[in-house]
Amino acid sequence: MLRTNHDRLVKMAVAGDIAPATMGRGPHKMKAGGEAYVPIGMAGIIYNARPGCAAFHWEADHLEPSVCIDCKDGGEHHALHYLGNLGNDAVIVTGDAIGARGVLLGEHARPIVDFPPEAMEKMMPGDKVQLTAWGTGLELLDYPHIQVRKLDPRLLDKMGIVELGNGKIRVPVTHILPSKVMGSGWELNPEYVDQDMCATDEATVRDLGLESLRICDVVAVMDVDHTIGRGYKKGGVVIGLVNHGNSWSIGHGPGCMTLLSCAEPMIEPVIDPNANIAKYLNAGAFA
Amino acid sequence: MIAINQDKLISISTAGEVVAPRMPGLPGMPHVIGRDGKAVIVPSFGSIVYNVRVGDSVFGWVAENVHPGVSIKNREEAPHVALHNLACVGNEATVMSGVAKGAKGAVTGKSGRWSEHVIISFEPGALEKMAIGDRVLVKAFGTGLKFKDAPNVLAKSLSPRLVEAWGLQAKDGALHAPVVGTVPAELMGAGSGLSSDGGVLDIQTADKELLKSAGLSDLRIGDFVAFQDCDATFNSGFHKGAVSVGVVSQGDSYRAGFGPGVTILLTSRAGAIKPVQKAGVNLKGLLGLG
Repeated sequence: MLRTNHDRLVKMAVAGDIAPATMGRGPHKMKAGGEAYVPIGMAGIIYNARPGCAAFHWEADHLEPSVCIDCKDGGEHHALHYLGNLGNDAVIVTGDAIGARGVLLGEHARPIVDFPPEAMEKMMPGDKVQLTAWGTGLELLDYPHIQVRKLDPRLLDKMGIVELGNGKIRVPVTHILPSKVMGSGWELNPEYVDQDMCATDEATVRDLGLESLRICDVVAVMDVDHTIGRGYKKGGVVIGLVNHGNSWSIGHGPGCMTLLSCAEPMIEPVIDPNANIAKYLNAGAFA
Repeated sequence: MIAINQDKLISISTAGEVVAPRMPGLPGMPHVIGRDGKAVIVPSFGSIVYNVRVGDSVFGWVAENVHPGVSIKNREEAPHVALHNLACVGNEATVMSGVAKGAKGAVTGKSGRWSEHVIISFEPGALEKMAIGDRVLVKAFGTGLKFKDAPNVLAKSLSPRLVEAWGLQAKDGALHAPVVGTVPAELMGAGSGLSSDGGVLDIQTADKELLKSAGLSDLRIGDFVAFQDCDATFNSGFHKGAVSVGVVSQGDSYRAGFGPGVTILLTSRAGAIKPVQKAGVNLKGLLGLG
């Protein structure tokens, strides 16, 4: 098992409210080919798609399955993003579903929390969800050249990571992507939200086998460095998590959150169709 | 002279004010964190920049994505969006208030997410008289521009004046566009997935070898460049076979994923743009900027 500093990490409550879906007065967005569409899929409570489901199947834009939470206060919003980690425990603390337990399985514009369907039937936007935030500051003690982000230490232990010696680790992933297909998100720091894959080009989607992507899949992106910001770097490797569904906009597509990053080729991805965190945690579509 | 629909395009007023430089307030830090992990405090977007001009190198300035000359935006959201989307490279700008009132300049580019400026070149003498907050009028002219003999090419932020100066040619339905070089898809950076009408697409500059092999080591502000496998019809982004062309509008960046921002002028999802490599294709010469 990877040695970490998990025994020194503070567990802290952070909370957000179930976020309503919102739209502008002109609700349309544009597909790459010029067709207008009304985007559905972000925020709110999604009843019929759970983390672990297909990323490309839905007539939806940036699908955030299950329940999205957010805070109106800017400081609290950012704390929720920076302190929440995948695999953290969640509980509903107000409303009819009070006491229902869930798990944090993604972070896009808002953290994405999975709950059992019977609990979701009792919820409404505005209900408060509290997370036991744990994982920010997590380090791999024997791999200081590899950065960890957004992982509850318990989830890290379930990812099937193998130590190869000489500072290298092997990580199971479902897909391996070249840096050039990465789009929206170069401008964001990798601690905050994800980076989309450019998935409007059918040939590329086919060549990389992206149709089989599921939300919560663990993937690798090659020749990038996310140590400080996100950038092209020959030999660098990032292990990411598919956090939302496809989009039709140019420069957009399924999202990829940064979990592990290394500026040098010291992370070896290995293809494993089971590499999905909903599966690892028996949650979402795999509950 | 390439045939365009100039006689059908509307010339309309848009306006903004010379913007002050901005830095985050406490408890934020004023530093830019570079891709090497070093934190630096340097000038960034906006204001009046006296000593960086179109035609200068993008590299070497102690600054983050510096804008040459004068940067403007409108303080009101909706008029700002109109200014940022409708202004075209080559459009005439006029100072309408302050000591430099009446000075004429030309739009040279835009900037993207988090600053969203329109960047304008004025004569050095006018810069000395200008002040932050001065009102600048831009006669926006170019939105909707079409090439009669290259129907699969979409123009944006491109003025008829620049079309005439640039030397574009249509051959067999494709537009031949003079550029200093072509950016490989790996180096498309910040701006991907964001607006290609009001914004820029950055060239990542961390890999000096790759830049050199693409012939972009001596890149200058105002240079015309192509992006291979880039569709910028609505947003910019990777799309195999598509080609986009734009003009370098800003200086280099310390940050990962960023670099000189390029204002997109032409795009073809179908790949109906043929970049023609030619040294020195730069706005300074084409528009006769001082």
